[in-house]
Amino acid sequence: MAAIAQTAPERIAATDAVLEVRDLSIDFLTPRGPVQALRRVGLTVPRHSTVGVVGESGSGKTTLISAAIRLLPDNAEIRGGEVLFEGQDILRMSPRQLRDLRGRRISMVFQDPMTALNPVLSIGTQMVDIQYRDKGLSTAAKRDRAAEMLRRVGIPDPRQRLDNYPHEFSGGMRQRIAIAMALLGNPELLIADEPTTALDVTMEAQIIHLLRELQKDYKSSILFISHNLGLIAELCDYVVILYAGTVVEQGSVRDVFHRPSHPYTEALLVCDPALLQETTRELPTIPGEVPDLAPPPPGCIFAARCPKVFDRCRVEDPAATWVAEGHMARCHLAAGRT
Amino acid sequence: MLIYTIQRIGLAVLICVIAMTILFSLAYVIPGDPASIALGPRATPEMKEALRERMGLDRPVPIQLLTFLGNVATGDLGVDVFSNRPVTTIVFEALPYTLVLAAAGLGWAILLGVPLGCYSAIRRNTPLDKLTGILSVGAISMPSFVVAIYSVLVFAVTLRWFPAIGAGTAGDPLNQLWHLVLPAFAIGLGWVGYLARLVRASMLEVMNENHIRTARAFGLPERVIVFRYALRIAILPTVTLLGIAYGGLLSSAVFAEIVFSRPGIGQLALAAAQTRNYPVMMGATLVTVFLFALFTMIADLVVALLDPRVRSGL
Amino acid sequence: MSAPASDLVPTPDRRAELGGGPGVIRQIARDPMGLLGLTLALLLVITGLFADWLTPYDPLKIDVINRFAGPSLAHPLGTDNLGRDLLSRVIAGSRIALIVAFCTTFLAMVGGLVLGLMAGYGPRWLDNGLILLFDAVYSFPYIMLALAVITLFGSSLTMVVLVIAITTLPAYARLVRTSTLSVKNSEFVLAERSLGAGPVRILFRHIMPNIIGPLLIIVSMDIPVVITVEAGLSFLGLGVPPPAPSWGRILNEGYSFIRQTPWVVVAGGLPLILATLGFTFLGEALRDIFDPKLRKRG
Repeated sequence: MAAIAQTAPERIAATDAVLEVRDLSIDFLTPRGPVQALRRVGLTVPRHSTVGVVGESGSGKTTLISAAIRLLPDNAEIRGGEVLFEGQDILRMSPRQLRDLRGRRISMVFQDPMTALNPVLSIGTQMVDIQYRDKGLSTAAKRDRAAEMLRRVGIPDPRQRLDNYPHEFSGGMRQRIAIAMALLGNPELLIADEPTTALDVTMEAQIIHLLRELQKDYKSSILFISHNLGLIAELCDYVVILYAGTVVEQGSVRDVFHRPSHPYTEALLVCDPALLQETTRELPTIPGEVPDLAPPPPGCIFAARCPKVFDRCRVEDPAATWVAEGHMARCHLAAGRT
Repeated sequence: MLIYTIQRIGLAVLICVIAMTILFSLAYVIPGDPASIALGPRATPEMKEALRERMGLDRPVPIQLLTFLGNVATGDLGVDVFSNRPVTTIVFEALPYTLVLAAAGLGWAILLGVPLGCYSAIRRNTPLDKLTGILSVGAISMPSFVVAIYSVLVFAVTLRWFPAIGAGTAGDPLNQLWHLVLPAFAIGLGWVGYLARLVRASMLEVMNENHIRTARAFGLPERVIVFRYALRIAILPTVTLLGIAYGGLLSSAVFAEIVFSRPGIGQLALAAAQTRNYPVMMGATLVTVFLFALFTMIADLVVALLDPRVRSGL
Repeated sequence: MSAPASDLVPTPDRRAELGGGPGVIRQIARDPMGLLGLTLALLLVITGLFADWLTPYDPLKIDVINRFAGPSLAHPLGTDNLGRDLLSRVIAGSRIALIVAFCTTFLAMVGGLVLGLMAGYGPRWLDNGLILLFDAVYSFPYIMLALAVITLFGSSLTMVVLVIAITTLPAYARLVRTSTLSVKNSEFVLAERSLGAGPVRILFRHIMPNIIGPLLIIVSMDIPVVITVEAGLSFLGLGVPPPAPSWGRILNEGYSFIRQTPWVVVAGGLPLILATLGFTFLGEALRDIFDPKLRKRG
């Protein structure tokens, strides 16, 4: 199949997209100078689908999703690009429009359930508060909706538990509550930032199962951040591999995991403990560290750690290569292959 | 909540008992005996003997302590040997003036200081914030009695806007209020600065926490986030500190009473100290100790009311 | 997750930056408030130390003819009700302030250190008992305790120092106790104890170095408070006995004559304000340097 060499914007599928990030570049202003946290990042979340974002710490995944709801820290500066939600650019919305969006059309579930909820207010209070935009509903009606949502996510005795405080729930339950809150507004897009990283494996399985069911019921699209490839494979339709602020590979889960076209993806697959073929005392790792992004080194961002690196990599930043329909990789090798 | 309340009351009582024991034993550390102290240097041996018997000084010390504690528990703080009136009556006559003064001083400080601290936190590093910061430190540093003296100098002697002496005529609230302005101002000034800084620091810390991020991610209006979600948590250390800092507040009130010649515990205690009138001195001190225990307990209970984690015993 | 930028910004190693004593001074000098505080504090210390040489007149010399004089070239701060030169009295007073400040804080610090270590490191019953004791002493407003003690023992410099030391002690003891407890239960100490290290070694090698820092910070921030308390007691007539020119005493005398002349209270209050301001700024600057966690700059 002929490669369609495209630069920005990267697109996965041509169909109707809930979220489209185009060419997004974000810097952080630090005493050492600007850190280029995201460089011309693009991704698409098609309607009714689940997109996973894989990245280690420092990859910029948090910055990416913070940009999606425009809750960036004060020293962040948007250098360029667009974040289109249902066709409208979030980066150019007024604070009022943003407040309308948040919690209603785009919802977020955070990583740490132990600190994500306000400790001095009952969860009923918090769940009623976020429905403040529904001015027609009485408080009793709002509590009913909250209780129903709690039941749906599997909290027993939901009506009584509305008056409980977060510290009276376990971590897994709190994460369920967070998911319930996120879905209360029936959002088009649910962003989940490593929702199971802080939970143990049993709870993790339950949460993932819950998310899958809820996605079917509520027809939301999900943007799912994780460093766990197995989870992504299980839950997501598409995957985006993020390394040091650059999208190095993206495509359907099948394409990317069965035919990885970037050395980083290959390395990730090799190193994933769940995918090890034989028991070993030595877990494979990727040697080296994420490069300093203030400013980033010339050439391919992965060059310093790439096992297949050659001279061209250190000089020229590879363009996006379409190795198959809807499957992109940023690598000189991939370009040569097709 | 009930259990917590009972625990706190128990602790308060225990501390009072220990404080009383300390005060009681102070009288025994000095040469001579409490009767001589109480009566002063001009007492005759017969008077001392009589008082000694009345005070039960011939009985063993632990018994005396217990009697003393028992007396206090029933509200008997002894008798003022000069006026022959019960100390309890004397002290409780003076107490309301001091309490009103302290409340007024702290009251305006809270009304100004807390919003100032809040605002500084939300609009941090703006010129207003920096100005508030410097003024706060300045206000805290100035001793309250110096502020009192200078405010007399400026507002009473020079400008003649406010009176410099007394608490005003009884039965005339407006007049009493007029007399209250300068002393309350003097006491409260340092507190405004202190509270503003405390609230600012607390708010900054809380606003950085993850649950505030969640609240924003759900699109809650900023006003709701600041007051309902953040301030409610940020105010907790301030409440605790207010309970403990009552001691400093009372000391400021004492000085203010003396500078402004107002009736109250301060005047009472100073007069007692100058005339070596130990029973009255001790009575006044004990009452302040009880108030301390009471206020710290109230502060702790308010915190428990606001913070469900404390109630659950976390 | 906190702000992502924090992962990307390395925190400088404070100790490497500080470079010992002169380094600290340089750090303080960078902050305008700190510099001001340092200057004022040094001014007080130098004035106090060299008071005898600095006073233009004998602070006790009475010169009734020139009483209530306003500021002039001969008397920059004026004279009081007995014609004594106020500037000289203020300078002499700085020595009293200095002595009280340092003696009291030293006593309170040592006492707090010892008792706090005992409470933190000793058996549980000792800890509980000491805490109750601290809380009980703390429940006296300092002025009432001072008045009570002075009622019994009479007033003198020693009494003042003792009373103030005792009222400030519990706060330090509590701090030391908390630090001791947390270090005592830390892993490296447990490791040493399992290797047979005795309490004395643990106390000196591990616990002390960790608590000296925060203790010194708190103590330095208390110096203005202590100076204020001494001045307050003198103002009430209960401090150092006359005719010693403590600043509080000057304020006391000046207040009686406030309608005749304002200059006496100005003279008495001004050094007090400058001293407390100076030490407060200095203490803040020190705290910002040594304990960034306590930084108030958000």
